[in-house]
Amino acid sequence: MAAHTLHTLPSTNPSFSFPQHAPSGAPTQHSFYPYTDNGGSTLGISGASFTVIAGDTRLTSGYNILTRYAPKLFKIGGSGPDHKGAKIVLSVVGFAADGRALQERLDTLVKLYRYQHGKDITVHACAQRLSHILYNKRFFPYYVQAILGGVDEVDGSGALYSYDPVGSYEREYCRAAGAAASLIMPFLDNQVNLKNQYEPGSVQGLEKKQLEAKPLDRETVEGLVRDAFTSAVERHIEVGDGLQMMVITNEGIEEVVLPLKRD
Amino acid sequence: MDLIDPERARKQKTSIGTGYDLSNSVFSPDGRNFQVEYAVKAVENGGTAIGIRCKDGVVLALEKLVTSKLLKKDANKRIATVDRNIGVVHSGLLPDGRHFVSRAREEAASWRSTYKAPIPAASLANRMGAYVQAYTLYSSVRPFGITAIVGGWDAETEVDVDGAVGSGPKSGSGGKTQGVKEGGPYLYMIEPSGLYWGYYGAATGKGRQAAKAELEKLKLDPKDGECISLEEGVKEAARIIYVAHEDSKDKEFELEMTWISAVSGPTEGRHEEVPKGLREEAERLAKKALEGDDEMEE
Amino acid sequence: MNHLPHAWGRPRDDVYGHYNPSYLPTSLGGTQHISSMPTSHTQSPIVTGTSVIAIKFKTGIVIAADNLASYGSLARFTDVKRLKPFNKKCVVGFGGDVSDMQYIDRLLMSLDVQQNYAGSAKEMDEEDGGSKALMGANNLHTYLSKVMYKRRSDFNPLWNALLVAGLDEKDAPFLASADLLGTTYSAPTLATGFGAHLAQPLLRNVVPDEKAVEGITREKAVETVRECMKVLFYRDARSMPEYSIAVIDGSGVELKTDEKLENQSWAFAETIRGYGTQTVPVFVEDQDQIRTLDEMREYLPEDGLSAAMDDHPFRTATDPGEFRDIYLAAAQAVERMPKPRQLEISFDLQVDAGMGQGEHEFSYAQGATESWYQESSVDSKVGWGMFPTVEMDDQVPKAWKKVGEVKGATIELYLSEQNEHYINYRLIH
Repeated sequence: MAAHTLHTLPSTNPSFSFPQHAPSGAPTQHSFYPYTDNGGSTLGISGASFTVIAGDTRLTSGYNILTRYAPKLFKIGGSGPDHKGAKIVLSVVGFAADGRALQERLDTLVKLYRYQHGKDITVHACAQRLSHILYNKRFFPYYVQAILGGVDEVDGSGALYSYDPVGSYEREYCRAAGAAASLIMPFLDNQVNLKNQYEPGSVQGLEKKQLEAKPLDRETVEGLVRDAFTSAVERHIEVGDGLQMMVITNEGIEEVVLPLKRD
Repeated sequence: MDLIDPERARKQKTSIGTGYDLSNSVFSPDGRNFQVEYAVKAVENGGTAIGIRCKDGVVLALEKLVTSKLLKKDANKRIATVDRNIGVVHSGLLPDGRHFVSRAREEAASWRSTYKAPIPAASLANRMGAYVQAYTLYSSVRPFGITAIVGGWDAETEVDVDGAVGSGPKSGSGGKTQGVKEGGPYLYMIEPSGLYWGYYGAATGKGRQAAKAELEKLKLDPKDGECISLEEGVKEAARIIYVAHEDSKDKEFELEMTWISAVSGPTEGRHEEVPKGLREEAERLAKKALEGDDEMEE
Repeated sequence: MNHLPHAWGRPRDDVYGHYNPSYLPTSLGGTQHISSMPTSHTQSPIVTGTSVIAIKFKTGIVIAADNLASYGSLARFTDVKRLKPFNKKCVVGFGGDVSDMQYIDRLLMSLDVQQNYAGSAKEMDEEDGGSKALMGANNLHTYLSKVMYKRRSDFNPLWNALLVAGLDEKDAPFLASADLLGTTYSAPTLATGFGAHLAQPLLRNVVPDEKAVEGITREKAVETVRECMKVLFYRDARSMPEYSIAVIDGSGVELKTDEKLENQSWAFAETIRGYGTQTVPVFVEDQDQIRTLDEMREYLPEDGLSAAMDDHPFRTATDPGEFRDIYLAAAQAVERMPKPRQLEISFDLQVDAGMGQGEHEFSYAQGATESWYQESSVDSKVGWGMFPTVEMDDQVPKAWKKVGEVKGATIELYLSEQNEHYINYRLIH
């Protein structure tokens, strides 16, 4: 009798981003599902004169690590296959094949823009274009969360745009995406946007004063990125192996790859 | 209004026809298709092209007349690969040749997609013959201004179906008959009329008469038992092109040569360019032979 | 008549009207559905190949796959070559649906034919003094991944996992994967299918990262891959012991399609305890009472097992490699025992007189073992040596020599003649 009662607590069912086999005994219908989740996480933070975009380099399929080095960050535009002189970075996390397809399309369009107009595309125009690409395919979406980063041509500030898979987008100061987004985003909220931080010694209650967020300097941002990822690696199995970080300034893009735990 | 089209007047003056040569697909009262005959004339101006069917392969050679000193040496290849095992050399209007080759490639690819195996040279010649002939039938087109020589090697080994994954049973049902040998070298020449024959040796272009005379001297009938080898064929082909060039000595030319050997031979049944070393050796011998002839004449 | 050859020989539109294709299926421009069902594409693979594995070494790549094509659990085709050389510097390894593999193979063939329209790469080779004219493995991989992604985007996937192995345009080793979803990735070691679970960890042990590739020789890479093929055969039920292996480096593609697994042994299985990861004690050389593997080998008669078995009516396996595994396993087991050790060794021999594995043979061998127990347990000092024959009733054969004194355990060694691949030992207590 008791055997038939509900006995699993929600907490005993950890959720994963890939399907778990239910031991139901019912026949499984084989059919083709065109998506998969390749895990990993990305984040971006913009500063007064720069934008940092970072992502881990692990590529997963279920519990398997497919490779320890698969970049999620791509330079967009510039000249030639190595994007010389590029000043825009796209990060994609989710379904890796769609990510690559999206990256190639945006890169081609940005390069075509230069051929047609004789000048580099602005970050905000590129951001709008990316939104259109995603929205155009909304009935068979690119299954990715994209973050686009660059430097604003008007005031020289860091420009950061984040997207949902069907092209809804927004300019933000910081954004985490991917498998460990729920782990990283609250940390960024607190550390970048100073959420839940109040002026020390200020009155408690409704009157207490929120600390005001100001653009961070580059060292602080890079430190936050490293901390965010080392922490995410501890708690999420799909994140690890390497940390790829790109810093976009008016001078161009600096790229570093740092080791993360490979367990 | 101009009642007399100057172009038309010119044509009427220079041609035998009295209007029968103005349209394709129209016979003259004595049963000739003038447009086809004019196409043949176009071929007669082209550089000499020859093909030799040897015991263990086929050689194609071309006297590529150098039309400008500004053209890069050994570039702008004219002998085309149609499928792995088949090559085409042509003489006449170059763009027509390009189209011919392009169609031949389509035919070869379509054969592969249907039969999952390379097209036999005979079948390609047949299809291309039919294609060329179709261009003599309609008033809106003109015949091909080329004569094409098609050389191929039909694999003598048991050829797998394209994409086959296993070697199949050795014996029994679906097994293989031991020692059965098919395939071999094939050579065809297709003319502007669509006419094609299989040849032991074929020549077309400006120097075809001299070339044919030389080809006839070679032992090419496999039934004779002393049919020349592929390597001898390469040397003969080079020599014949040099001989054929004698009449237009003032013009510069490049020798272009390709070959197709047996699957067990140097090209493994593929149509490839004759290696540089061998070609230069053949040219050296060809020049030497010509000098020898000159001395004898003197 | 017009200048469009396509129309020649067909009914003229101006005379007969436009061709009415409505009776044709939609794929040919018509309106008819074959069975009033919507168009359906591949929903699952049918005849399948299992793992493909590959590893980079200093100057090239080694790639392997077995020769089996399964139909569900049926080993349907046993002579299926799943490594396809594209040119002198790339090989594609196929896992997944075999008919899709054949389709891709034909696609690659037509690609190769088109590549050579402009002249064979061979000739250009000589002029450039390198193989620059050949398509590099990286470009081939890009091509294949686009094909795969296009087909998945059409909901008509090619149900394969591909490994592309070879040299890139700069003749550096290149290894990458593409699958039915169009996912692509590259790593110094790759394995598809079951291999991703079983072989990849072993491969990564040898080549943990791109830096380690420099230290790997061709021989080491081949050895590693062969070892992995063995492990895959042990545990993958859709595998077979005949396989293909290709090595691609500067000297070209060396493809062998009829390799057989060698030196199979289940000895390792006894070092596995429970589930999950556990450290198994490693054989230590510097122990007074325990001899190293090489030392122990000295106690073997020169001609190995065959000498001991010559008088025996039943022949058995003679491969010294198999015995090495037994000794190693036994020595490891001894190592785990608490001191002082007492070791009784009994060899439990299963022989086969062509009647299959039966009770008769088994008990017969068991008898031999028991008789030997009596003798050897007198002073519990036992040596290593050849396993006994029936004549061993009264004394320890001369071939047995004292190696050490170990107490408290019995090791049984199994040698199964049924299938000479299975040689095993068991620690009884």
